[in-house]
Amino acid sequence: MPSFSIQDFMPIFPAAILAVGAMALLLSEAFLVSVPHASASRGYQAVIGVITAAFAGTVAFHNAFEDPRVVLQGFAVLDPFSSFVTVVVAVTVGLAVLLSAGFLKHRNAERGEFYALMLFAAAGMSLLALSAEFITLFVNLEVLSVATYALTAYLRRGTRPAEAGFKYFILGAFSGALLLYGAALLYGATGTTKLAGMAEVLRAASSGDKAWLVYCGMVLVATGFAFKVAAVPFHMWTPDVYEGAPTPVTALMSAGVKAAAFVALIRVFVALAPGLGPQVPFVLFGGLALLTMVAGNLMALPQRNVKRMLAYSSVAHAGYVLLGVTALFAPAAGTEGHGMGVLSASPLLGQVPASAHADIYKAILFYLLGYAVTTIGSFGVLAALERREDETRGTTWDLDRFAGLAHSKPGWAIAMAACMLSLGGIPPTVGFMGKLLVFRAAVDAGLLGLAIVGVLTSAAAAYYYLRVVVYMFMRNAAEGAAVPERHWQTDVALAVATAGVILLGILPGPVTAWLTQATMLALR
Amino acid sequence: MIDCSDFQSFGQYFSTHGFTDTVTCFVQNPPFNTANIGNSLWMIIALPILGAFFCGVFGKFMGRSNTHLIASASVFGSFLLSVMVFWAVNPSSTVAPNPFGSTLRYAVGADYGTWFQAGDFRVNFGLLADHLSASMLMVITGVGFLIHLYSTSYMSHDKAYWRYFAYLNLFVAMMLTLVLADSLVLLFVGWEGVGMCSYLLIGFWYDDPAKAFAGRKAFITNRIGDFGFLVACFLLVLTMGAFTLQAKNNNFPGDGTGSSQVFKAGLSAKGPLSFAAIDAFTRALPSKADSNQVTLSTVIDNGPLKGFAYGAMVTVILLCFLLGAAGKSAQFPLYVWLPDAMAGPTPVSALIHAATMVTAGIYLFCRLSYLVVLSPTAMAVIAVTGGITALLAALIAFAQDDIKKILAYSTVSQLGFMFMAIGAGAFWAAFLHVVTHAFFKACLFLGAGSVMHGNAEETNIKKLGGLSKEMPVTWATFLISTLAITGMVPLSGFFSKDAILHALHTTTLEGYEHILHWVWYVGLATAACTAFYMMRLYVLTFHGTRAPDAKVPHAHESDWQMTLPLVVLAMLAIAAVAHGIPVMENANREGPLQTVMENYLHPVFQNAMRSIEATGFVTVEHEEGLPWGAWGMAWAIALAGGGLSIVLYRFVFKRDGQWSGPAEFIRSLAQHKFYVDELYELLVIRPVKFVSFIFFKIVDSLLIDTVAVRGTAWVTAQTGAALRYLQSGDAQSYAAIMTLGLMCALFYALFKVL
Repeated sequence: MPSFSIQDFMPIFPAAILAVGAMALLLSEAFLVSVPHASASRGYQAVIGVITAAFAGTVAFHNAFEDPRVVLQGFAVLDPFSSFVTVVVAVTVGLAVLLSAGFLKHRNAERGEFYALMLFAAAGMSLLALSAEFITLFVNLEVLSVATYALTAYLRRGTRPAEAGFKYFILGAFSGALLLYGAALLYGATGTTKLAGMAEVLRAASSGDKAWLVYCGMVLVATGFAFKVAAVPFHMWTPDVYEGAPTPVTALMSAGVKAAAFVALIRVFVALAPGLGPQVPFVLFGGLALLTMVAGNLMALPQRNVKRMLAYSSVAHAGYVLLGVTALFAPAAGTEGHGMGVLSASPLLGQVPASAHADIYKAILFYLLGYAVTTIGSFGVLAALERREDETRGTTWDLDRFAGLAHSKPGWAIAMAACMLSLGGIPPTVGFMGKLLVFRAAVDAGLLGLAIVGVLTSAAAAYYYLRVVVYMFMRNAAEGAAVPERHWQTDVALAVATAGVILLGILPGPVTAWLTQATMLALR
Repeated sequence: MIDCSDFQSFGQYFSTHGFTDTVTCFVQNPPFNTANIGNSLWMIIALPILGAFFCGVFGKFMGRSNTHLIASASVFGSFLLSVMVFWAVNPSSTVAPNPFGSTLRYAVGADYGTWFQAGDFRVNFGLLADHLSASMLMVITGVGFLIHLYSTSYMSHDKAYWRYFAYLNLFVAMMLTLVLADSLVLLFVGWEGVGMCSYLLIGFWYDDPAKAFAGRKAFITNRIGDFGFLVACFLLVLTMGAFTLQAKNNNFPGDGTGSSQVFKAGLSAKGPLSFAAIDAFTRALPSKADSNQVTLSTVIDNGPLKGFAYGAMVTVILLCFLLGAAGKSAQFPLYVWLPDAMAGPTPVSALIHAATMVTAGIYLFCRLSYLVVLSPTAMAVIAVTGGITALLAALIAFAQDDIKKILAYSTVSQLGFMFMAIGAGAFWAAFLHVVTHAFFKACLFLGAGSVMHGNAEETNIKKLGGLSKEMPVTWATFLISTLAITGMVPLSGFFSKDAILHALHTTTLEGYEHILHWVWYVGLATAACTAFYMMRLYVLTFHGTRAPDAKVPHAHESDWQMTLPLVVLAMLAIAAVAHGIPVMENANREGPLQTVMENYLHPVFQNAMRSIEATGFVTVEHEEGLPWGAWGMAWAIALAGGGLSIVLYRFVFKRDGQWSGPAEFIRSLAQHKFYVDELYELLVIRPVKFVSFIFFKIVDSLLIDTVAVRGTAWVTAQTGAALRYLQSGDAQSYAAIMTLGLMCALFYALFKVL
């Protein structure tokens, strides 16, 4: 019987808090609501959700200053990397809950289980970020996925939510199976499912006759993650699902799910990489990054539907994070990383400096934080503008809805403009700092070709982001356009998100200083 | 007591002439701690910038009075700080550490560290106040404050008052940057900054196309000059770089501090474009041939300038600087913008286009005096340019009827005088004229503004007249300033103008023996013309009977905010006489007495004077005693010109009289400004416009707009649209594409490994 100390459970406290809050909300629906079908008496539920998220975030922030270590007999880790992402997830879910409050009230659909599902999803994200064993990882991935499947189909009006939920479920199950199959192959090659120690066994296995087992497993696992982070060509579900899901849920998916999935991906591959040849992960992620950056941005360009545009933009941003991930596996100078066109790596300094990895982690995490705040803000404005009557029509999210917003709702217009500038990577916003850090990390690692593609595509992206700004500030609203309702919860969420976008863009110092820790990752 | 071995200070002068030690101590030891004043120089610039910010951003909400208060108070604060700096610059103040090994005395300054750096090239952000910049500080902030005060009344009916005061404050800040800069780069920031503010203020009433066009003309003409300035800076960097590699140890006198290592260390610490570096460079570059030294006649043996002599490069650099200075200081052939600049509000004309900004070119040459004296060719060109400008502008001023246009041409003409002085190596005389001119020309412009204000914006002097009774304060101050500019004893203009003429008369440039003599004649003729047209302006405006077609039957005197600056400036125009009286002994206590200004500026120009003695390029003929003869002649010329004008316009022509016969042809020529604008239109503007039209059609419209911009956008959009077809909404096809992707990855991994 293994003995656990309280220290072993520290990393899962935030998730536990989120789960307890979720259960409290479920119970509240059974016991604390007097009129079963009216929203009037449910205002407190969002408050419970936000308080739970804040509490979990605080605990995770506290955890971030612990020394990185492996806990629970190697099934989980406690390190700043996962703790930071848990903080991001907590912030995201808190803001998403606030956005949902107004959104659901407007649709008379406020229910405790909606918030409970959001908190369960957040718990899954937090746990996914700290899993260090394949079975645990898969279970946590499913916790998060099932919650989001349900959330996607939560509003049962029209065919769109059901279609989105069903597509997400089918394709998610497909990719989940691929991930599980890959994990099984790796287990078959190494005899273990724990990441700690797998690398040594892999090194022997990957050069022997089990090599095909190892590489097939690796590619399958990578594919599973690529689906979750919506990397091209595993992104196909994204626009349909993002469009069909209730907008606050879309915000949560594009910010939280993506961040957690990226952290799990990095943890798995950084742990496995020493046992593999450097070439394959580099080309794999480099190719994904290239395709994602180019195709994501190109497909967003012709979109007039802002929600779909933001879905493609979310794909494109995954590409930029993948660029950072690729930098982690960039081969050192002199190895066979040359002569691959855009994908070639030629470090400017001859050898990738040891500090480069710390810079890359910093860049990725800062980018994820910045993207989370920005995407919450932009989907938040979208959610605020949506009207219940339009749900089944195709023009709900058309650009014309934004025309003249600067006159009718200047606060929202400013929030949206800040978010659009941030997504486009224009100073003084957090998106600019994030892109700067990622591109610099990529250049330091020698990924000149990919970095240039990244810069070019983000320049092209400015077109479709700024188009929204142009509509808001330079077009007049159509005659008789309905003025959307306001809810204080929405305004608070937008204010927090906008403040984050601008403050982190002007003063990134405190956060980046915190992220510049020598040992971010427990398993390296 | 203070070491006065090479400089007869004010205090020394007072004490040797029987003043008590208390006065001496008070003058030499300011009643405040001077130790940190160098570090606080930035505040002088920061105050008006803050003022500009508040007026520009909040002026509309703060209301008129608050804007006036903030704008004036910020300049007044700068003025108080400038007084402190002026006081603190004394023999005991030194700038330390000077990386070039020499001690820079009579100056305060601070180096705030590297501004930017590219390879070996480095520019520091440093400020420096010596006697030259301290005097300029006093003029800029003092006259600037008076003009702010005047503007509060003059612009009292304008809606965009906040914009006006923001620009005016910004201008003051930029001008202060220009004079406080300790490197050419920072000076250029101020140089461009004042140009921009000038553009904004000339076109202040931008809804009048003519005024907006005048602003553009000023800006573009200045840009031509700025091009020269920049080329000069680049050439200077190249020349100094070549010198650093080529210099021999003998170039640096071996007193232990002046080795070439010290020079190189200084260059890398301060950057080649700092004044300290240029000064050190000119000191290390003698003219006398010596086989162990690099001299002016040595040919450059490295870098892009290989094959040119150092002396030739210095001449080219100075000529490029002359182009820059001609743009900013309205010299021939770039003077054409200044008369048009009168489209701006009148206080702006007084501040920018008479008192401060247009003297930037003279300031630049005074600052670089040690470089100027290395090239007699450049000096001759400067003097001739000044002479042509002075005479041409004076002739044009003869036939103008617009009060502001006359003053504008007179400004151009007086600036020409200053350039003549630079060309003769009499930097102090040029600068003395800058100071006195700032006082009386600002007073004249403000007086003109007052006249316009009291006469419903009438500017035609033929439609004015008889104002001496109705506007007594304006009349009195205008008279004093007119007498000052015509050069009447005992007003300041007499001494400054005479100092210039005297210098032209007594100086000879090596290789150009007669040039300065000819320029002297031109100067005398211009002085007579000045007296003539200024008296014409004065008589037609203030005397005689009121013109029948005047806009208002009776003029009214202006508010105290407008008359007070007039009075103060008129008094200054008288008091500035003190600068021009030769009462000081020179450093060696021998030779003729120096004027106060010459003595005061001696530390600034001592390197140039030493260089003059060493090279022999410039010889000055000293006379014993005071130049009574020259004074008498200058006075007689001014009196003759002025008197003739009074007789003609008061008694012969009266108001509507015209010249007839052949004189009318000349008059018409002058009235049309000798068709210089039309000539430029034909020779420069039209060909440039034609070529730009061709380029616009081919490069801009076709290549850039159509192919590069629209083409790229079209291709990108089409690709994006094509990719959308993959997004069918069908879950099976999504799964198929995912599988395809997976297969590719698997294939690659297995192919690579197995």
